[in-house]
Amino acid sequence: MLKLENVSAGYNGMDVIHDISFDLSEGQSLCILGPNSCGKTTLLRAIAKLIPSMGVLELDSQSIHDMRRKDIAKRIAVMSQISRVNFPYSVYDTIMMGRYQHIKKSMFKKASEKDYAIVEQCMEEVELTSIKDQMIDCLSGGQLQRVFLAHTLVQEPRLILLDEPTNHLDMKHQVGLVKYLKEWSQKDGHQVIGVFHDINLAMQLSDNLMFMKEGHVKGIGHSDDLITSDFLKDIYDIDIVAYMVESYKRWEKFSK
Amino acid sequence: MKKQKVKIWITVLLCMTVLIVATGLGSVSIETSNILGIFAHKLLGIDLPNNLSSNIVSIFWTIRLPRTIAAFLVGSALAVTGTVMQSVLRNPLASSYTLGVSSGASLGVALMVIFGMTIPFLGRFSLPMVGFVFGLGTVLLAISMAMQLDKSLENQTIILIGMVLSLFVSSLLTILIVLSKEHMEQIIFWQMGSFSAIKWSHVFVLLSIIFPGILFLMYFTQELDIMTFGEEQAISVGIDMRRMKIVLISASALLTGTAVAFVGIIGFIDLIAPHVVRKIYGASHRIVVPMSALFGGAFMTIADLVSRTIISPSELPIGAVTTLIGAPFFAYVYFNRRSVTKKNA
Amino acid sequence: MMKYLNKILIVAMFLFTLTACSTQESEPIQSQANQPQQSLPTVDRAGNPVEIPKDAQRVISFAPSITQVIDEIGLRDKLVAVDSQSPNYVKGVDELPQFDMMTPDLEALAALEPDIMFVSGMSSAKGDNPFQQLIDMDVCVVTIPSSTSIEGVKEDNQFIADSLGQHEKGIQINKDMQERMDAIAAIGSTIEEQKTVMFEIAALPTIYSFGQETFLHEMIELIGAKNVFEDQAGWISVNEEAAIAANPDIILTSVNYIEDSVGEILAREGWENMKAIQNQEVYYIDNGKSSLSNHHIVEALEEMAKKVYPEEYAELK
Repeated sequence: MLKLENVSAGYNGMDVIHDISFDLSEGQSLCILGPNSCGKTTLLRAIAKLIPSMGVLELDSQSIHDMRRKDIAKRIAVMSQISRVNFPYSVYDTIMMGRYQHIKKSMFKKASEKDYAIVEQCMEEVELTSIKDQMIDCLSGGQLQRVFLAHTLVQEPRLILLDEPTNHLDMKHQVGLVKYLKEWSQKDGHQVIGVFHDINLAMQLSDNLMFMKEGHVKGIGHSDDLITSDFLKDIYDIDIVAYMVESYKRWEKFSK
Repeated sequence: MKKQKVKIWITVLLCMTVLIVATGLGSVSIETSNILGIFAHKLLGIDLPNNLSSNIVSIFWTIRLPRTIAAFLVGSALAVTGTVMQSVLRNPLASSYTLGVSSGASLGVALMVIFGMTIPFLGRFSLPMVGFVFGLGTVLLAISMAMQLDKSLENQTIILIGMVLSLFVSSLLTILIVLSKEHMEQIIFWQMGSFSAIKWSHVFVLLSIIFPGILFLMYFTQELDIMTFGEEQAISVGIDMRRMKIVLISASALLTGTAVAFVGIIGFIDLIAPHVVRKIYGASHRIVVPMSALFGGAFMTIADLVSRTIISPSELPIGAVTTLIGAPFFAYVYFNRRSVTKKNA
Repeated sequence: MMKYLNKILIVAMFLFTLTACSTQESEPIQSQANQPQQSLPTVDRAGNPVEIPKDAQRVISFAPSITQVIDEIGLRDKLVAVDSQSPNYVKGVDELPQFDMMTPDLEALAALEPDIMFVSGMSSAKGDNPFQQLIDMDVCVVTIPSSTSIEGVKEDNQFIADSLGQHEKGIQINKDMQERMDAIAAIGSTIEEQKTVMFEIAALPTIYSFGQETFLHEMIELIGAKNVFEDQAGWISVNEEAAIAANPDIILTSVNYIEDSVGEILAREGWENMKAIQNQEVYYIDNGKSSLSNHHIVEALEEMAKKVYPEEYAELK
């Protein structure tokens, strides 16, 4: 259970997000949407305690402010945009790094049987087993994304925070990633909070949407209840609904 | 992986060869068989070969061997700290020197020299001790100042504060030197770096700090790997970045401070060793850190050999030698491999 | 027309002033004893042209070696200022104003209105002549660089004497020097088995010694010994290994800034197996007498001879 109440946070003493409040019950996911610089990423960072914040921030009734880094890492994983890497680690090693919290408990920081098992399982699920020894600086964008997805999954988090991880990907991989995460979020009490630019893609993940503008929450709820023409116009300064309907008509033609 | 193993073995063998060659060459050449004979004599009590004068044994055992070992130790310490600092601060130019170890140690040494003090129970270790304390102290001061200014201890803050503090301390040193010119030569000589005064007692101290120090840093190779992907990633995976930075930077400063305290300021190795080693071995710190130690050690040993033989009976300042040999070597390795990878791309 | 006249007048005055300081005329020198007419030197020991005034009454010496010579000549009373080291070597000059050799206060020097100022090359270590301003003010600055040979030392002595109008005294000093040196050379040249000598002028952490082209080197050869670093030239730093490997029969040291320079050498780690250390043949040679380039080096020479070959030179006074 994630609970936010009057949360504000920012950089260099200036708040970027103000007074954010919402609850997320177990198994529930959320998409955060809004125009540029509305504070989506800042909010995500605040939840993961990557930046300090004010206000109530609780996970399972425990205040995140008071949690130690390792306790947070056991439950929350952040997946951000990584487009290119310049250092030659292997796919396998990169994914194994996600097991850090679990590995470092042992004396010489050796991976255990369980660690190996989980890494291999996640590699299978994202279909990377065939290239596990390849160096990540030679992978394509889509492959790299899957590496970091696996890296996030092996952390065995309950909550994954996604920060526009699909921006640079082609359509196939965008859709694939979101679909996978939706499946993931639907079992074992997992939750995903994803920041998206693309509303359509967001709705692939979850119908639970939250719109932000200028650091404030403008609306939160089911897409059916929330989205109206005026509402989106207020948020984006452009009639999204009309644009989408027009696009739909055009696409409908192609399917005939 | 097999390729890596081969490379590692080659490196180990090269290091041993370098050590043997370095102890064999100098103002007098000592053959390998004689070297082994001397070891047998000293360690096992076997009689020396007849034609070996005791004077030569003195040279080898009391002057050259400790000196060569010290060079290897200092070289590895500098290379390892260079690697760690570059990974922690994610800056290819980062090193303990830039954070103030060198200027701090110089200031400490200058104060000792000018005021002619010795610490009672430390005797000849007074100078290294003071150098070490001042060097480490400057870095710790830089870190604490950075912590005050920036709660999350961002790399940029650390580097900037380190540089500013380092320059400030340097200027204090300059003023001191100007006010007491008669000591200028001695202080500057010390700064230039030299292994000429090393004896066994120094080697034991160096060994007892550097060896565990390097092992300590190797304990964090996993964290170092993860940190390469960025601070946010590292934090998200559960690394307490703030604590990790403080620990790693302090440990590095400890190693560098020790090295500087005994032999002065020898640069360049901490800068290029990481790059060269990464080019050859890849990115995994589990391999890069120990290989840096070997590479740095071997390199420094060779540099010391050159510095004490090339204008015998005088010596070249070793800092100059490391840069003179290092720069072209670095260029060769770095740009050669670069074009290789470009071809493969 | 007037402007022209002015200019001519100024030039004429200038020329007149120059000739006043000129060395062309040889007027009788009003100093102590009867001195035969001797023309003053026109070039100093560094090769700079100089205009030395006759009968200098106000003299400044900027090096202890020079002060010693002036004292030897008997003209110590003419000194109006010395460098800060001179009082350590010459009695009776400590009341005089003293100046730092490396950073002389030029204004104060000029204010003393010296007729002639002797400096050694040491003060111009920076490259540019620190006394240039004084030279521009028409002060007679005479440079005597530290000589690199015994012959040079003798010439320096003569030069100083000549500059102060004491030509005969100079000759006398050098004659005494030469006599004593000859006495040593007579014995030195007969020595067949030459001992090897290492002469330290600075101790650890950086040992300094010397090779050819130094008067100390000539002195070693004069007494019949061999300098272990004879294949080098000038002043050299020596690393420990090279010193141990050289394994000289005798080690001499002129180091006086350590309390027990001989003891320090005997106690050095790694040196135990050297001939000189095992035979305890390590000796101190007076620093002042061996480092200042003037007639006193002959006293150091005698000291060296007796220490290196005590039997052969036993009868030397």
